[in-house]
Amino acid sequence: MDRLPLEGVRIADFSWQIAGPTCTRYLGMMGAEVIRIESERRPDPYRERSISRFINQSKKSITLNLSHARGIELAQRVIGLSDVVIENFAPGVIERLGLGYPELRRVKPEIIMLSSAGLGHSGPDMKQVAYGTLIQCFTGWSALQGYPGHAPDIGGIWTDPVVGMLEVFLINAALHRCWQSGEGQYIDLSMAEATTMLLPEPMLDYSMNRRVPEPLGNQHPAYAPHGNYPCKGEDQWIGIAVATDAQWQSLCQVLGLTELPADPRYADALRRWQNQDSLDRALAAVTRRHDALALMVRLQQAGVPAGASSSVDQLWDNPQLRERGFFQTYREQDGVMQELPATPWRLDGEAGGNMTAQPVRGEHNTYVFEELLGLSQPEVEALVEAQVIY
Amino acid sequence: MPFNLFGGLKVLDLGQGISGPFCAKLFADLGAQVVKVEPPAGDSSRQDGPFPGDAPDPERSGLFLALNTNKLGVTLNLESASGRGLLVQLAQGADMLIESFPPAYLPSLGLDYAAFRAANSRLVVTSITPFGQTGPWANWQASNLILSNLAGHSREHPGPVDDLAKQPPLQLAARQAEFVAGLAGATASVLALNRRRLTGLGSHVDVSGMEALALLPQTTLAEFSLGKPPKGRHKDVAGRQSLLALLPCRDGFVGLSPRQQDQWERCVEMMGSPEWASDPKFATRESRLAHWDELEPRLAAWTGGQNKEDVYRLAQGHRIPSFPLNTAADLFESAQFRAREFFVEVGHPAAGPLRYPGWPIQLGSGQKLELTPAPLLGQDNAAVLGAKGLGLTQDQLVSLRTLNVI
Repeated sequence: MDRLPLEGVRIADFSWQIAGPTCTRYLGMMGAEVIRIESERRPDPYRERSISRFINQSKKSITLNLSHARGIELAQRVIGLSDVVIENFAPGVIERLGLGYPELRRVKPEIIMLSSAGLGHSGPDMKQVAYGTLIQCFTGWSALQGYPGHAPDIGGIWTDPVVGMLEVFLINAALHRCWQSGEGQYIDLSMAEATTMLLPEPMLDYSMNRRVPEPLGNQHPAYAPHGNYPCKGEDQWIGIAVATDAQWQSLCQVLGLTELPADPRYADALRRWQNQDSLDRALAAVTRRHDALALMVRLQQAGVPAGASSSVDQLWDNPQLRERGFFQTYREQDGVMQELPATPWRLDGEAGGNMTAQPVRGEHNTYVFEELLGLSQPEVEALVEAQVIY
Repeated sequence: MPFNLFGGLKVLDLGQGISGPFCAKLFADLGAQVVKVEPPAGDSSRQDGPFPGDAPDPERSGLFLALNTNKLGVTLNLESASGRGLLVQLAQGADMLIESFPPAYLPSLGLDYAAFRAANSRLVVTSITPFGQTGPWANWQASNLILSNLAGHSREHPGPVDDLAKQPPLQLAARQAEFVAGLAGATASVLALNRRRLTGLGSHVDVSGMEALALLPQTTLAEFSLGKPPKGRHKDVAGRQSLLALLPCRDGFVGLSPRQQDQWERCVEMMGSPEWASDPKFATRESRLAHWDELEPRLAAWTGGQNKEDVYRLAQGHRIPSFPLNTAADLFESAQFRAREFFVEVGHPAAGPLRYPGWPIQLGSGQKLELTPAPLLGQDNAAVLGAKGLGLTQDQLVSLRTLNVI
């Protein structure tokens, strides 16, 4: 990309676990200089997991011991050279460290600070112990996941990566405002509320009708056929989502079910929906004979929304993603070239951005402490010795 | 003072359904002036529920109402030359245009990106579609179910499955794929806006809903890139891996996760130190994982007679991670959500006063979320197109209405 959107922006990144690092990966990919502040004293447990090589890409890393007064002072100096601070310590921790927004504002009046926590930084439950997937229970999201008539399902990790994306939006909104008006910003974000914000349909249903929506599985509230149907092979499925009469006619034609459109049980959208169980059985009897990917292509070419339930290896080989340059190559720390997904957007047709390997902890100590802050090499060595740079 | 991060920004929302309008709402609620441009028949989401009393009414769709707060509403028939001309005039005065039509649609009307750029070189044009503007699948059709499948979510990101044959891969509930596409669209749009400060130029922002969703299962992607084979669907993988149990209560379910040793020890104490808990099978994290099938029913027996809120409070009191499985009803009563004023009451001329989900943020500036109701169809035609807007006279507006342009 010719000019990356966040050229010249520096981020002081105190975040850890998943959501915050997900956010700062996008910021780094889009041209910001992200300086991750870590410590041997309090290592990010996710550093040890495979996800880290993904979410901690495209940033720099320094080590600072924040239990040390000198560490706090150096953190403030890094912040003084930054535009944005992001953190997700438990509520109250950053203030206790002396790095709360009022202090940072004295260091740099136009600083933008985003503080994220499971339930936010106010309210009676703000200090509850919160983990990603468990937060999903609180939000109304998990209560909607699952099969009709079965116990509900917490679901996979959802809140963290979604919140990470929302944080990218919010930080860019605050930067936009800052460049317009010179104003700084403090944003207190609740991960639970961010998840609920994406659920207006069930929330408005309750608001309007006092109805508590149940898990629908693969059904649609108004259309049928709508579901995953078995295909040839083990655990192979095709999703079919028919919303119009024309799609219904095409579906029957492709599957060779010439008698179905004339069946009075399926004559219109309402009757197809009312009789969806028998309809699903009729379709499944035929889809079983088909290869999922081949059937998907034939249905899409006939104008029927269809998609095979895909595994990660299929995703990697997906012709649409490949053609669009979704995967980007980068050099890992061991020198081996690897590839990972970049961004879900193209600006003027250009894919990607600045993708670099996850830094080793403290990899950029020399750059930050000597080049940016102007400390001498002996000063830095003394700080390492004193376990301040640690 | 309402949220004002986007004060002065002018946005045209041509989106239909969920992804485009949700993207535009994120700008509208934060202070941008958003003009929603609907076809004379209205945004398709006006046909989607929920509706009060389940009675369909295009002015009372809960989905439409929630997605279109803080917007002005005009109608424009883009199939007519006059309608297209008015759109280009609006684009000349705008910073951003958001659309979610199939990729071939606007170009077929002569409204491709080059046409908008010629009218206004600073305009950011954001296109949000299931597969993006390019590639062999660009014109394929998709929905939440289809994207849940193709992005790998239904297979690689599952919850517990008891019977692979009877429980097919599961779509995301509540059309989350389309909301994620809208969120990615808004993020890309503000990035393009921020790039404009460097280049002085707008851009064409091409957003793929499939790619936005495919980026979410990050652990799976990282492990595959390291050469680990796909996990596929298994019984109850999610719970076993993290010692996270969803346990039945008298009034629903509660999530409980005594995953660290100290949390487990406090959990035993909380349950009144039952004899079974001293069994060596449950002594360490590893042994608890190995005997999860025996452990979970015992935890369930303890929670079964209690209310989910009580278990949650008791467990958190012992510093054990726990949350109730809240439903919409619980959230409207939640003391936490109330303290942060998450739900906001909005009065609407057709739908009346209702509480809507708000924003997950509190700003240090003290600015608060304010929601004005979604527009009635064509509500602001006169204001946006008339004397104070594009400058059309009353006679011209009447004539455009007669010609079914607005």
